[in-house]
Amino acid sequence: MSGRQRWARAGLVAIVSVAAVEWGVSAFVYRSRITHADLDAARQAIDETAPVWLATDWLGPRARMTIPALADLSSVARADLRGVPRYAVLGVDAAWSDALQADNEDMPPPRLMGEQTFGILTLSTYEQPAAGALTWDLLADPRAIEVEIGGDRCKGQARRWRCTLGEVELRTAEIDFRPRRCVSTNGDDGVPVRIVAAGVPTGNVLRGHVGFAGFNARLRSDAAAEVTVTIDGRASSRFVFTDAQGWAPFAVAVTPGVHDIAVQVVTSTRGTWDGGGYEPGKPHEPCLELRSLQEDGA
Amino acid sequence: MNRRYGLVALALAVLTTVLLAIGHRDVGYVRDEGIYFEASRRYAAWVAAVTTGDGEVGDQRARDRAFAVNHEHPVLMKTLAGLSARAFAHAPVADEDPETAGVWPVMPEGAAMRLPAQILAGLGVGLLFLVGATWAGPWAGAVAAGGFILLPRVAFHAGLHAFDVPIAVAMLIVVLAYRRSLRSWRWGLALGPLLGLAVATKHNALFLGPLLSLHYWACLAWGSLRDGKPVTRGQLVPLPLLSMAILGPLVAWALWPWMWSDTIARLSDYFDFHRQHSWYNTEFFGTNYNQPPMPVAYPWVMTWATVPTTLLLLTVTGLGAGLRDDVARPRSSDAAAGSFRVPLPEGWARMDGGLLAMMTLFPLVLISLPGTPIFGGTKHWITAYPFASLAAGIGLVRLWDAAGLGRRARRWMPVAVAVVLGPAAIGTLRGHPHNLSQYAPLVGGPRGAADLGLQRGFWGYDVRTLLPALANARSVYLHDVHELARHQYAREGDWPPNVPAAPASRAPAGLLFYEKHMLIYEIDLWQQHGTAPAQVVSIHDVPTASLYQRTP
Repeated sequence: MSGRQRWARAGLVAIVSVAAVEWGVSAFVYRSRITHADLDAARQAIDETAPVWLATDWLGPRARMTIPALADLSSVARADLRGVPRYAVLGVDAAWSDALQADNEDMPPPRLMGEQTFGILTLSTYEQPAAGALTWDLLADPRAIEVEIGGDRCKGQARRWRCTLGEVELRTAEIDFRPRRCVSTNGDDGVPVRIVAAGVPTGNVLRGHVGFAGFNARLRSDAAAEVTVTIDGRASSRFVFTDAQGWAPFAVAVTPGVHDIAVQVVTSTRGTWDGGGYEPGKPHEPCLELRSLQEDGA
Repeated sequence: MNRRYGLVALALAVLTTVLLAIGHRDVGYVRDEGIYFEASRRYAAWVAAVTTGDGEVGDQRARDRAFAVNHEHPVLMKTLAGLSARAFAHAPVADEDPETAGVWPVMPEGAAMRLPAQILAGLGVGLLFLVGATWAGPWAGAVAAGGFILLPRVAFHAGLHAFDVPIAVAMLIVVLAYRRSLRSWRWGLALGPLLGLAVATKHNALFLGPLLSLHYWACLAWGSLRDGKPVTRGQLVPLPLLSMAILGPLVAWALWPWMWSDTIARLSDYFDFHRQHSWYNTEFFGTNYNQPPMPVAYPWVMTWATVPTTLLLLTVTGLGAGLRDDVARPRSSDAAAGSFRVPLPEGWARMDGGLLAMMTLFPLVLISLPGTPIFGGTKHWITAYPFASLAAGIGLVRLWDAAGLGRRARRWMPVAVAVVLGPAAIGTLRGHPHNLSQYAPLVGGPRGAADLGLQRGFWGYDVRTLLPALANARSVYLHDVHELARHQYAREGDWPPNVPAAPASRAPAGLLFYEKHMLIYEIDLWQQHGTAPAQVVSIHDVPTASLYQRTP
């Protein structure tokens, strides 16, 4: 047998082998493997006293149809994994995900406490001792907050506040291609938007996130947002966020107790992108959330 | 031409057309089809008016009125679709237009309009078998034909009233004609009009003139420098090249009435539109790209992710064998002199391997350039696939022959063909009617692709199974369904009557088609309906579309 024949036979064997693998794999990948019964079993196994997150993003629509806990906005549009010492994660052959890792932020990896499987679905239970305890959430009781734009107190409550120079709205926004529950601020150029919460029961840290909604608005870098956190009338921390930072976290140390908390947002210049191109008059809207936590060792 | 091959080719062409015509009744209307349906009706109405004497070819206002819609694409396929509807379409069941049924009303209007593209796909399959069989035997032909139409993405596009598979087939025809034209003045003359027809199908054909000229001059240089053949003056710019340069544009222009007036300005608009094409949002490994630069790897990875690896390996084998043949071809000392009419007569190399490699690789290289606007899916290099599948067919036979398995082993060739085509065929059958979202087995199919963050779909078409549920809604948020596609469903009685489109904030029902950047629209639906959809359309567990409905 010549060298050419040997090579050709090896090539033929390799190609037939790849084809055989593809035939075999086709039997698994080209059929539905998640049954309604699997999802229902997962629903029944979920401990309703703890939150449940999804590790497989594409499972979302079907999972939300079957498992009410996954349809809750606190699960779909969570800010991060803080303040939740115990939770469950449902995934397709997955117990964890990049999105969960991102939301775990700088906390140590959670402890895996248990795992159940339902077909190819995996329900994993975790504990996170470093999660801290939530003492207050800006978004949880919007009736308790006041909004001032350019020094004027705005009308409205619960969901939307309007002033002459801008508005603030509680919403779910697409930030960095993920849903986030946040307060969107839209003030005129350079006009401060202040969100004030009086008598807040704080732990030892205030934690928040800021991001810019809309994938078109993030096409190019537009004006940054300056965020100032004020505790009992004193400016405590100041941050600058750009639309390239995604869902950007920030933290401010605070003495445990009861405080008046205000967060001020200033966007210097209007103008951003949308589907039709650059819109000079369109506001570049930062969206933020803020909570207070008691964290051991913080 | 072998008569038996011709009959098999014809049978494959008919079978392909029939299967596409029947199978695509399940496939929803893609966004672009909505526009093409409307354009087709207008173009065909103009043709009908002109041919019956109700209108005049020279009436610019009437002509422009008819052809202004969708004038960024040439009109050949749309006109054929409109005429097909006038021949075969049922009368619209719900429309204010005073239109009647076609001459032989045997199918819905959308199906009738898809028919010309389906016939062209059938023709392409038959042609691939014929060429593969003629070049390397019937089993090469079988792999060439099957390796093209059995690919899930090709099978999906082949049934649509769109231009992607038609232009792939048209380019195959032009390239084959070009090859013949190097030794036949009749094909040389025909080449220009064929190129014109291809340009009238879609703009991809505009690259053919330069590419084929480049190939021709490479052959000429090869013959002169390697084989020492004298080059005559007539060979420098021969009949096939002149035919493409002169007759091609003339035929393309003649077939596009929009270009008959204000030609320079309109041509300029046409080129500008495609040069400055907007950047579609495209997900690639979890990142949404909507501005340059696009990753160079994008078309290569997506080709691997959507074409079974078996076929890709055979394509590489076939291209390698072809290029090796070009290089190893013995020098011929008794070649006839080339001329203007017959530029590369017997004895001159036609470098078929190089031709096949160029036509396979060029579309992918073009899309790889970081500055090429993102057009989205794999359909934008689908013009490579007929040549790739031809190379795959040749590759299998050449490998088999080179292995020296003997004559008796030949009886196993049909089994080998079935083995190499199987993964593609299974993917297509199992993925129907969602094959725009189908992925190759080694990627893990749709689930694996979703895990990797590869594009789920586009064009808002996967809606047919959701339509009955819309009957109780007062209005519907269409999301990515084009209003003209909705109009087409309504004309055919598939869209519930009195259910118009409405904004997400007002509609009691809403559609959502999954792409990474579409989350922003799903959130709008959550405000109205909560986060749990009422129905989900999936391909192997991976959602392609959802229906949100307000709970009573």
